[in-house]
Amino acid sequence: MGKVTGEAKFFSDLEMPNMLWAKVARSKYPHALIKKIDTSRAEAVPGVVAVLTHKDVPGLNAFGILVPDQPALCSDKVRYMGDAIAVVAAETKEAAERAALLVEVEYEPLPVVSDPVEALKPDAPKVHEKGNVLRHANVRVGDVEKAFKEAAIIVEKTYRTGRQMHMFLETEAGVGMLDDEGKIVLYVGGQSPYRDQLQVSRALGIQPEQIRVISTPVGGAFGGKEENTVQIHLALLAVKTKRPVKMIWTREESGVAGMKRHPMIVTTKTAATSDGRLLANKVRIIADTGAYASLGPTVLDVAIENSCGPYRIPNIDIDAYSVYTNNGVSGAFRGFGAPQVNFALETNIDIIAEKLGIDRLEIRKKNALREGDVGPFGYKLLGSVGIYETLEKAEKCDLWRNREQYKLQTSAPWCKRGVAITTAVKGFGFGALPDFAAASIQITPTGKFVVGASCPEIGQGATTAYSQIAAEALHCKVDDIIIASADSQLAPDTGTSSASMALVRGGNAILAAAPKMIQLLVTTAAKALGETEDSLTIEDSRILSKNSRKSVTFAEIAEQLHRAGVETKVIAGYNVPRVEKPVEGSLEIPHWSYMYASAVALVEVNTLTGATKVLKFYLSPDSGRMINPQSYTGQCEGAIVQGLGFALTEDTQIDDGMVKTNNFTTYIIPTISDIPEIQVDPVETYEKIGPFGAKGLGEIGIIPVGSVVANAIYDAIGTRIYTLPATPERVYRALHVEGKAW
Amino acid sequence: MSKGVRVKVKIFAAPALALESRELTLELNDNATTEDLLNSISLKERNYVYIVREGIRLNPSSKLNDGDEVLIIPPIAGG
Repeated sequence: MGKVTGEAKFFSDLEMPNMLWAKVARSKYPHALIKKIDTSRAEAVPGVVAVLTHKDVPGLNAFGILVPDQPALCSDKVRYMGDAIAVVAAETKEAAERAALLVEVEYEPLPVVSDPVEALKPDAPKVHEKGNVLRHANVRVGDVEKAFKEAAIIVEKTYRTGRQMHMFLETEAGVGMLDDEGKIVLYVGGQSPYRDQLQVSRALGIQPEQIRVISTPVGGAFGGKEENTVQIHLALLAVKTKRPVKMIWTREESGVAGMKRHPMIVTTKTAATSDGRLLANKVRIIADTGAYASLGPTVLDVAIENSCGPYRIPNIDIDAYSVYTNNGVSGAFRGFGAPQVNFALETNIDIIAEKLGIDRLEIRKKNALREGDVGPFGYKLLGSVGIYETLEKAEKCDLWRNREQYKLQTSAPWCKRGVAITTAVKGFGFGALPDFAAASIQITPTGKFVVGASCPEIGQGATTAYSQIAAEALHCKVDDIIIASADSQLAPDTGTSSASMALVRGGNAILAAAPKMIQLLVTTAAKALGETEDSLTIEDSRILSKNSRKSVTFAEIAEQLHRAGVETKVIAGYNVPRVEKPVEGSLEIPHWSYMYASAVALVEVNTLTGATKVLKFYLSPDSGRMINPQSYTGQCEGAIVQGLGFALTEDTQIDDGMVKTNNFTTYIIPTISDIPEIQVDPVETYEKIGPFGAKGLGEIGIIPVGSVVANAIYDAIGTRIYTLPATPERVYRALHVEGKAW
Repeated sequence: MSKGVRVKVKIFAAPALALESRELTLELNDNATTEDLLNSISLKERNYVYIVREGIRLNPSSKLNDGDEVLIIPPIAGG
């Protein structure tokens, strides 16, 4: 409610006594050697308390969750325009900003690597000493070349996707300070307090237990706050100045220095029989990971895994590169590599359907995976599989059934309308990589429960879901549950709010802890009532005897426990099920279970301007059982709208390493006026590893948006779009330069 | 005479690179802690790993029990 009324305080709003302001001095060049750093003029600015450079980093001067290759403060080289060179703390924001501008750096500019294809050439300038390939992976099953020889139809196309920005409402921000015992305390919106704690401990050369991280509330993340942002800088300054220090990145700074979605070039060669059965898929992926690794290796893995969609394809050959360039830093972004490859495959399938004269929905039903199938990577599907059911629902939806009538209702004679259907799949969690989660439950003196689950609430509804799960498991009201979230001091490590996994991890950890709390309550109640434990039952926050009318409330039990000084907290853990041996060539393929979805969209294209409007959007997700219908629908709607940006407008323009679109004026995201009528129509399969049968949900809604919008544009105007976003300029060009003129 | 504790260890990803095997069974002293466990094997990046027992991360001072199975994993995030 606080977020709706505006009363909620975010860390950008935090004010502390004696607080300083911090500002980062960033590279002016996308690629250059650093010959000299002089901070004397910055230090001389009135009000400046500290100016730190690489010399002031006591531990490892690098961060990166998987590969720590990004300097906290650069010493000898800068690799992108936002690279941090120094960090200033001052009495006022203005003094800090002025001082940051006065940090003098002598650069020797280097040739800029801005094209990932060029970056792969042996004579390309090197972003890193080891070369420009962060990762090369090849995964093969079956024999694609043999299948191509046998195929009735082969479609090979190259697709390109843009560099989407997260554009969260709250930019990267937080406050760092020392507590009374000298422990570093960081109030920084992020996606895992424990991963932040580890990266800060590494940079400062201290034990993680000497750092407390509180990661929520956070004003939007979507993957862009999974990596270190302001944490290390704030920790360094808090230790140096012994005062609270606050940093808020400006929107422009976030646009230059923050994470982006990996732009990808995806060449997909798909083969089918004459009746539309898919035979083979050969894919080449080039992902532009920018200047540093971040989560590039695993984004590539997810792209590989999703490049065959939710289909039965017996022969596959996926060759994928994650390439360093000087184009910012690419990292985690909702969908994590899946939206990009989904655009490629789903468009190829539409082309195949058209050439064979097969209905676009029917070809997808024909090839859809079913429960117990062997997936494209040769592993039996272990989780629930609802993709066929989502297609059946989509087939019956009003938009698909009546698409020809909807297409006729154009808003002007020069407008054309189209409808398309595509599907999506994505594993939730880290697949074959090991994953775990712990949760704690403590009963308060008044009989309420504090549930410690450190996955931050980033707007996905985790807190609400945890409360509901805990209340169900503890036989009490939701109002009696208090979630202690995202605080490394108050909650055990429940993992990251990422990979659509917060609900499954945290929910299952809570379900593991609840029986321990129930046992504590029952044992105490049995003594109090003079009964045996097996004669007791629990309902509505009380424990009752089955044999008599005796009962005791949770509040009464809690009072006894606290008075006796008995431990009132329990903790339990959950090991996420995983396939022991990943597919050769991959890191995390396969996942134990997957989310699926079918999407139908109605678009209208203005043929005079190329502008495309999405009028109706239908999504049928299979994310297992719904825990909270309102949160479920909200997550889907938000994902769809974010997907509209990926499909139609969002692409960070970077020319020769220089970011040109770094604020809302130049980087266009969907607004309220762009939102179509949205219908979310779930298929509730029962996922046995999910809490109460639920799966992950956060990402599945965004994945099919690019493909369904692009294919609907084709349905409208008869010319294909092979590059997203399908901006008015691109659609106009497709219509009037490369396609038919109207 | 104390019998010590037997602990089964599974090591994943980069931390295992310096080892011959990713699965070990260690015989440690009574009252052994995770710090003792780490001292008894040559791990790459030993300061930046998680030690997990039944889904719960252990501290350096966490006591190990006979028959424990622990995982040693790098901090993983992503999607």
